[in-house]
Amino acid sequence: MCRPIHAAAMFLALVLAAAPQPGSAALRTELKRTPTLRGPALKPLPPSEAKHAMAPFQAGQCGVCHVKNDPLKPGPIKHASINEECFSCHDDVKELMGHRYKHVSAKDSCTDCHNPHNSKEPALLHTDMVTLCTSCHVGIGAQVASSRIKHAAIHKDKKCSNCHNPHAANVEKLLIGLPFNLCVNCHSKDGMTSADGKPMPNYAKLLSANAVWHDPVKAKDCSACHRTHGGENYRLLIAAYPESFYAPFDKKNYALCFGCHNEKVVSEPVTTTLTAFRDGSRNLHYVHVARERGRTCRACHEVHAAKQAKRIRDNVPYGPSGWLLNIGFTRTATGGTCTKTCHDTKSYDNKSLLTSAPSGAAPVQ
Amino acid sequence: MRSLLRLALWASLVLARPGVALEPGDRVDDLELPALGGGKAHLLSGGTVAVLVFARVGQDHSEVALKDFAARAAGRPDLRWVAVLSGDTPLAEARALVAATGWRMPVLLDAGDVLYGRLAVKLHPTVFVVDREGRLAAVEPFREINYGDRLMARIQFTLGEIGRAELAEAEDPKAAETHSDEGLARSRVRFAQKLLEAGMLEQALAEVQKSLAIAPTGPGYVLQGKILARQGKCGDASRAFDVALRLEPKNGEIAVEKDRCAAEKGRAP
Repeated sequence: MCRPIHAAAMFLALVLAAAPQPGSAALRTELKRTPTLRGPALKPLPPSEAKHAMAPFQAGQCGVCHVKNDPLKPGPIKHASINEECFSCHDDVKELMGHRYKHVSAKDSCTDCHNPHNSKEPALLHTDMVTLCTSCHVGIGAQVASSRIKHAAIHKDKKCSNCHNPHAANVEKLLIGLPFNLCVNCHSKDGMTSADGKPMPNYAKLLSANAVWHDPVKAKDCSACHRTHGGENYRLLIAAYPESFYAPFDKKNYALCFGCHNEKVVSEPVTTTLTAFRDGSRNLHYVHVARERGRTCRACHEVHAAKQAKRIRDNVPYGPSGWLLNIGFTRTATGGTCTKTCHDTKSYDNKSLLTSAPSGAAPVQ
Repeated sequence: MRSLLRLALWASLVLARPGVALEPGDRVDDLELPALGGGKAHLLSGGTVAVLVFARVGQDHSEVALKDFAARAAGRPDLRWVAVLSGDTPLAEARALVAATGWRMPVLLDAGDVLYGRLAVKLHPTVFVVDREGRLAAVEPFREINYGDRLMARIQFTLGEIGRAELAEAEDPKAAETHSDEGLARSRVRFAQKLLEAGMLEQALAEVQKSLAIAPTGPGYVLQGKILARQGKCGDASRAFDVALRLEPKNGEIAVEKDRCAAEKGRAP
């Protein structure tokens, strides 16, 4: 009986002051300019609108945080700062703030994001989490809104905090853990599909069945290749990567790979240092890739993990129906052999003199 | 003449150990290479841990990494920081990279990519950490996340400044969960404690019960016992203290509270 009366009284007392809407640009500006004016913006919502409330507020115990227990005139908070006030109960968040990377807003004032009384949103956020976060992180907001390929995780379950800890973390970008630990946590289900409806592997299964992992996977660094807020490239890749088995060679098409790998591994016809996939000094990457109907990386290499060194595939989906074409590659001490599938059985030897200069089909520059 | 050329090519293929990656513990040759600023400079500096950053112009990852390392290098002048660029890098582009990243340490140009070949460097950026004895301690290829933190941990490990546990923590930091039932339960206990201090026993008891419903914690049961004791319900308090004791056997406060309650009950008329 008392609680609704208390809540209504508090609402009436605080709503009188005109205030910018929580989470609005005006509020952000105001917070930055005059932190002491935070109070009016933190008015409670009418009880009929609020879905969540702070326990002391709900219990009508203003005196837990304020100097007076009077809902009409609660007076200032008891502690010297908002955060000290909050941490007097929320000591778990205080401990969290000891992590290496801290959110400026969390360090500055809990009420930048939370209404200390009540809210429509879980965790008493001023507005929906994505709206709230992107009101400051404008670039991310634009990326989320306008990207061609969307990441469903942003709008479901815990939204931004599926991956980020908005208070503090031990990982850059306030990630809860290293990207792999977060990504595989969700991408370990059968039957998942990408935004374009194509099936996606169960990565937990794929990685456990294939011992040779791509270096960024080993480093738990999915973000090295994937833009998780949304992007323009297939599979949320950070840069261009050919989607098909064949593609004309243009280094722009391989911007993703050449972001780390030396493009000379493909563009140099002759080498004795850039790759072990060479017959003598004849660069076989150049032979395969640097041409009009070039074989793309995926023709021979698995991206995430494979059973063979250099993540050479056992087979590759080929043609519109995705028929699996066997690669049939066998490594030797100084080279390797591919059995007849893409072409007749061919071998190469790093120390060979017979094919030490480019010959045969002329690669397209 | 042709046979001589063939012999030279054979020698370069067989003897040059191309593409053979060094293993940690292998000696890194202290080559003398042309420096971007003019003259030549050695790769290593005897007795000092060296951090060799292989970078490339016109590549975002290299630029980001060099900028980060340049800032970190300022705080570790005891190390030899060297950026190594391919010998065919246009000098103007190399200088632009240095200017854009604030890199103030030596930049060496690997003429003929000899060093690239010897160290089998295929990715950019890649960092080689060389110990005081000139042996390879670690190779750190690019990471989008926590690259600098991991590199610094690897360097500190090489110097003996941190142990394996700290290195492992830097390589895969402990998760920082956004929410835990235990944390929420603790907050409720704190609130209940404040209600108890205000003499609001019924509300405090209700709050602590909410806390225990979220997560049964030792502090929750201790407080429940204290509230019940204040209400004169010593039997119920004692049962709460017993549960608390099972959760926190080393908490000496629990036995004291339990005894106090029993003593007060004994004194009761």
